[in-house]
Amino acid sequence: MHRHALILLTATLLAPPLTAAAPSDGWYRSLAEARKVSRDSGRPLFVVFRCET
Amino acid sequence: MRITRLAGINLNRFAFDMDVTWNAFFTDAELNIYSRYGGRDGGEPDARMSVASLLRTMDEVLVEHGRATSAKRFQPVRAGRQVPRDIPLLKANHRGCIRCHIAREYQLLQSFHDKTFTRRELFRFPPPEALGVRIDHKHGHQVKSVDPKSVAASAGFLPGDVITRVENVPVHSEYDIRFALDRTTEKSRAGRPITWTVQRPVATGDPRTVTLSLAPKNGWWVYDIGWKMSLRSAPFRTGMRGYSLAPSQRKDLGISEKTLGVKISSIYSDGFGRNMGLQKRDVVVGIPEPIGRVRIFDTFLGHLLQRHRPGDKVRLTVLRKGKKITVTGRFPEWFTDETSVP
Repeated sequence: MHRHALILLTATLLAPPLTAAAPSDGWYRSLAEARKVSRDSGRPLFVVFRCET
Repeated sequence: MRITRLAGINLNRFAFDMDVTWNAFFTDAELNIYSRYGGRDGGEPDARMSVASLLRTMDEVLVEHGRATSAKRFQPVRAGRQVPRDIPLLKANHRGCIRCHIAREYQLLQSFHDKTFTRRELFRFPPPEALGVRIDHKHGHQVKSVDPKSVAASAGFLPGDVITRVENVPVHSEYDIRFALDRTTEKSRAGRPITWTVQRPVATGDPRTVTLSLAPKNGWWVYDIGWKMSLRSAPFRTGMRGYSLAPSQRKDLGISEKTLGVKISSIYSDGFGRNMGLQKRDVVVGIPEPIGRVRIFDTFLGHLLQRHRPGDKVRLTVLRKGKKITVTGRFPEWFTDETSVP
């Protein structure tokens, strides 16, 4: 699975409004923050568990 | 949303095989789960996934998300909340970040010390091919083929069937199927048939909804687990170390690339090795039938766990001092004295 493809796909699905708080790479690291964006935008969440070792 | 540390994550809600390096969930803002995506086997880590199937799952999730609230279909989740630090052995012994496989290994150790461990714990989230259903990984949840004479063939599965539900789990991906199958392997469910809903293509018009009932044999859920790092914390007392022979070593010993070739480097305690009468420098070449090339020692252990349970009589074909012999012994009872993960 290619990382860049996933980031792109995530942006397609979640597509949070572009605000100053939006992470530059499109990925939220805080579940609470992502849930707030999901509530505000009405869009579903794409939650990825990823081992980075 | 990307999670690389498990601290604070509810493992009851986000249930998946934590030996994988990547797994995804689709949820609403309240973390109700629409679908799960991921899963692997002994091959390449991403071989069961594809961009096409991920896109399909996303499309289906968006349709589900767009339904009226009362019509939305969510997956069932285990009640209650368990975060990694609720595992007593992890809380007592682990410092620093908690990676997925670490949490899984502590779950295994804890279950052994709590006397709740069963063999099933090693084979969580079984793939559908364990029942004879092979999924088209470009699609994600469409049947590519059905193994002849399998329980799936008997139940009437056909290539082209699109699986949309297994028991009470809505299906949008292969991993949804694995999640649903995992729930059916719980002790309280053992022996009951598994109900599947599929959309079956017809010559003209819309697909037809078909319900299939599949009645598997006990213990159907074993599969190749030799790739899982958590095996090192399984209560399988081997009492031995070894390694898989390199191609040149196989050639010197006249062992085919297609045959098991594991050299025992030490027998250091009670356990499987001593039970079998294995000796240092023995080369295990069969158990007893060829099982394909074993890449690492853990793959050999995985094969043993797949085939045997405590108390079973095990036969191994061994090369010892140039002669091929057969050794027999008992598969050991579950045991580990470990309380922490390396």
